[in-house]
Amino acid sequence: MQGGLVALVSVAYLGMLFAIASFGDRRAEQGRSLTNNPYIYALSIAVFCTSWTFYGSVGLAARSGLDFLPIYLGPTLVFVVWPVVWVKIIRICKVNRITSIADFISSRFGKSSRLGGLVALIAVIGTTPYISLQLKSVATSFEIITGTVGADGWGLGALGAFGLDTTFVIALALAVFSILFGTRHIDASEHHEGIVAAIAFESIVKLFAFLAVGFFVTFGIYDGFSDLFHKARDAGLQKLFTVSDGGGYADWVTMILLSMLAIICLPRQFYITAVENADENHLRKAVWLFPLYLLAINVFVLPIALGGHMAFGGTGNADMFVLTVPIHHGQETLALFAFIGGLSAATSMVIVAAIALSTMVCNNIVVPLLVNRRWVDLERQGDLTGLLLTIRRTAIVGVLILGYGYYRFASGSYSLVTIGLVSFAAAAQFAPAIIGGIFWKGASLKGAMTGLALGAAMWAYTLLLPSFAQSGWLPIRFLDYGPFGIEFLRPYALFGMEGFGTLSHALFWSMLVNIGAFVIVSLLDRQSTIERIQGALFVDVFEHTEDLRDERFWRGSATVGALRDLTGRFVGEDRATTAFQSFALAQGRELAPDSAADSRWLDLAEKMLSGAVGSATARVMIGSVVKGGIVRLDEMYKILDETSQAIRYSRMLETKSRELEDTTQQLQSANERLKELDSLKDDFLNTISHELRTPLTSIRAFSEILTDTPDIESGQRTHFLDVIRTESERLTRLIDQVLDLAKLEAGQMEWSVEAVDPCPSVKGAVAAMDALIRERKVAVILDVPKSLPKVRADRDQLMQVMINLLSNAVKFCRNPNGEVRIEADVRDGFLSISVTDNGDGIPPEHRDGVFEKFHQFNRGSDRMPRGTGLGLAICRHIVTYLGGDIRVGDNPKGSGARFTFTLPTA
Amino acid sequence: MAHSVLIVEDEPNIALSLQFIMKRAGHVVRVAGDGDAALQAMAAAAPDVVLLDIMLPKRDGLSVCEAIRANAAWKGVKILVLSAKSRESDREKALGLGADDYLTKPYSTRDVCDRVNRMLGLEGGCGPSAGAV
Amino acid sequence: MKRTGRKNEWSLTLFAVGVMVFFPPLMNLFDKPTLVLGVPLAYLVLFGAWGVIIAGIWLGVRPSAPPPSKTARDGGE
Repeated sequence: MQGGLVALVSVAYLGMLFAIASFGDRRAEQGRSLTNNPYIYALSIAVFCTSWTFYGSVGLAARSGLDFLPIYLGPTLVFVVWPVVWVKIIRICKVNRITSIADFISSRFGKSSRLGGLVALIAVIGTTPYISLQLKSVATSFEIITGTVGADGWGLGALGAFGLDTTFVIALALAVFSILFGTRHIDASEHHEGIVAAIAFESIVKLFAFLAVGFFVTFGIYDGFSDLFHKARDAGLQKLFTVSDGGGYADWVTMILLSMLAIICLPRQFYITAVENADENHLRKAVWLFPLYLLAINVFVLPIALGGHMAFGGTGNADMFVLTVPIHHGQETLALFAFIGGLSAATSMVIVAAIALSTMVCNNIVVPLLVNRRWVDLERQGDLTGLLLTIRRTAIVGVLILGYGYYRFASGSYSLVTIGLVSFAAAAQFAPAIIGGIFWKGASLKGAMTGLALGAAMWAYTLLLPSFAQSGWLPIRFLDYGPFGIEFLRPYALFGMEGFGTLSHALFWSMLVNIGAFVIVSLLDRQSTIERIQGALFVDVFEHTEDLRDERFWRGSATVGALRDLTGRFVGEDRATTAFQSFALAQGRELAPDSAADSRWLDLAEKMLSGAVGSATARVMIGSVVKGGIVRLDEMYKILDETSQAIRYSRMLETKSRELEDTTQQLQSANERLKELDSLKDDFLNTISHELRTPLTSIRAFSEILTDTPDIESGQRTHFLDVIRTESERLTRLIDQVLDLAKLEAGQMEWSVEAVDPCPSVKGAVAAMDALIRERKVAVILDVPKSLPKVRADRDQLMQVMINLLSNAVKFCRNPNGEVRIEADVRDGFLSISVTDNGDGIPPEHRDGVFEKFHQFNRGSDRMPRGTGLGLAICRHIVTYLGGDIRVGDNPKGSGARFTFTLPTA
Repeated sequence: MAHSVLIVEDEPNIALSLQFIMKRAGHVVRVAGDGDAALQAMAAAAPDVVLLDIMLPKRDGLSVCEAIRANAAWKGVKILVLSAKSRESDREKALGLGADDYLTKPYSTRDVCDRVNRMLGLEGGCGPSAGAV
Repeated sequence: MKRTGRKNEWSLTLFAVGVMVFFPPLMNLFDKPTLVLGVPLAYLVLFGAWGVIIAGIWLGVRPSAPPPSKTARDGGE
């Protein structure tokens, strides 16, 4: 067939696709969505069937019989449990406005941009072999279909002169096509209706092309299934009739499991099924239509494989039987149709994968880098659409060049299916994070990060590196003897595990480390708050959203009215209305509440909200309205309420802990006070003990002396007996005073307070101290007016105060010309009596202390006279009780101390 | 030969009684009324025995005890503490600072006599007991 | 979309059936090269079971007792 014709038809086909996509986009803009339709949705999911299915399945069937089936049985099983898996994932995607699988995983684990970047990176690396598979199939099929009638030097062959090969041209063409389709504009909701329509159309084309070939083989060449199978059996192809020719089912089971994970985790499947889903209800039809599509496209795989086998006698590239069998039988038109079918299978995959990957590369790798490294000031830069589009376009070209590179350097020795499975295994690494993430709240960021990194590393070591080795990029010894000759680390028999297929082996190890690390690290890790919130949002997504079905959710975008209402609830309705109206006026428009809100309106609302609730919260709230209101306003309030409750609670805790601290402090000081009191009591008892023991010592000593010394002089005897007597008196006085003080302190003193004439008390005290006064040779001067007003006092206690003060003055007045002066005065309803001596006085630092019990200080260099140390304490107690006060000062007429106390007059 | 005893006591009556019994036992007696005076008396002439009160003006008995023990020249001086502090910890503190014995007030004069004699290595009781009985 | 426990039970049962048929050891029974009705036994059983399961899914998603608002919404599709 002429290369020019094939190229022309191909270009025409791609042009038609473009037209369909444009049509789909236009319809979407008009609001008459083409893709809001379960059948289109189901067909778009059939992007799962790529050239691997179209060409590779037949090749695999021709080599090993029914082994191609697991790749389709697995997805069917996943769609069987759609209410458990798909509804949940789709709901989560809508609620959280997820744009890609990287977005999904990073969002689940606390919106970690690092995790998102890792997922995007693994997705790019993992998808590269898959894209190379498509390029390889298109290139091979192109060469076959043009080569059958002899290349005429036209078309792509000519490009070879410029050093370009067919595949590279195809890669570039697909890149351009993807850019034209997928990055025409940045859509806030990341919905590409035109693409979905085109993909659905491609699914129809590839299905019919494949069925056409199948029909031709089964009913054109042979006389139906029975005839074909019988002839195949006769040709000795029985071994292709079964799944296993005795080698067990390990690979079969592995592939079913792998494809179950892949249908969820392949970036393009996730994108088409979850992100591009227009309506959850479409699932109801898609869940059985898609498996039916898979069944239909697989019915003729085995017949075509058998037909090819019989036509070429076991020679020829089995991967291309779909093309070569019609050509062999002279059906060039059918072959061309088949080529177009294969082209559609390849292009649909490449386009969707490229768009999905470019979104991830842009949103999860490049933009976070730009923002974090501050290469781009997002705050200042107004419209970023241009930048984003450039990033995405570059990413698409990059992804295709990567795919081309892998094709050129690594995929040569592999069949289509083997290449595809390498990609499947990479995608499967996302499964623990996704499945674990939507069913297990405890799954943590670190767990997902560790599991994913280890799983991907294991995948690269056991599948990707070997594919490089087999292509000569790495020494082939690497495979047979392990790195550096360490056989233990052979990538196909890691840790000595042999007897499995390379795929089962790789999947086992990668999943073991992935799931193991994911679970163990999650269990050991403590989740941050945002992780817990996101975990709950994902796992309990139905609890938040189940009762919303009658409300207007699933809205594509926010209306101006919704924004105004949201803002109004926080800044006040009037203010919001005024602000929105003036904003509309400034743009020369009427305020139209039902019109869609563009970024300027969002900006306005966000700014107003930021003032009220802080920028982070504002962003969340705006996001919630924009993403279609699935997290409704009252939902938002609930979150806010919970937040404020948490804040209130933590404040309460703070207060409590402060109170606790206070209480602790009080307790501490109370304890210290108690200790103080205790030691005071201890001191008191010690002092009492000392004070009692001192006179007792003298008494005992002199008694013994008198007893033991019968021949003592009589003068001495008299002296010693005198000492015994005075010490006994001292002892008695001490005991009395201690008891008095104890009574006063305990408030048990009996008082008889009455109007008392102070004069007799003063004179009585002087008379009582007469002996001491004489002994000390002190002059006592009584300078008191003839008549004093009566005071309210207890006669005996007043006397006691006078005696104590007088005896102190006499005792401590160690002056050869000792003089003690007693004065009285009446002022302001108080009688004040002072006792002044001309002794050494009391140093200022001791004046506060002298009224404390047992306070004694050394007032001189010579022997210190001994008091009981209780007299002044007792005086203060009495005077205070009677309503007066007592203080000590200097003798105004020279050295010495003056004690003054006051009593209220009667 | 007579032994010398230094009495350190601020209570005059107690000092008087101690002075009496020490003299009666045949010792040479000096009296100091406070801690500083005690150390001055020590410096003037080291006694054989010091009868030391604890609660003293200026420098308390423990400090005096410490000062005596700090001076090598007074190594042989015996110290008998006579204190009204009756707790075991007070006793331990004093012995820890180098006191040779400790008696709690009110003590028996006979005890004081016995202990002083024992410290001095003298046989028998106090002189007066012989005369007394 | 309201999901009922019934729907989950049905889909899990169907899943169990699928796992039983598509996984060993049951596969050993029919994984033989003999031709039945002119097609290989394994081919017949696998595709047959596949078809039955798809029919099962279809049965499960039929709105058995849809709430009124639901039908109105579905009618719009």
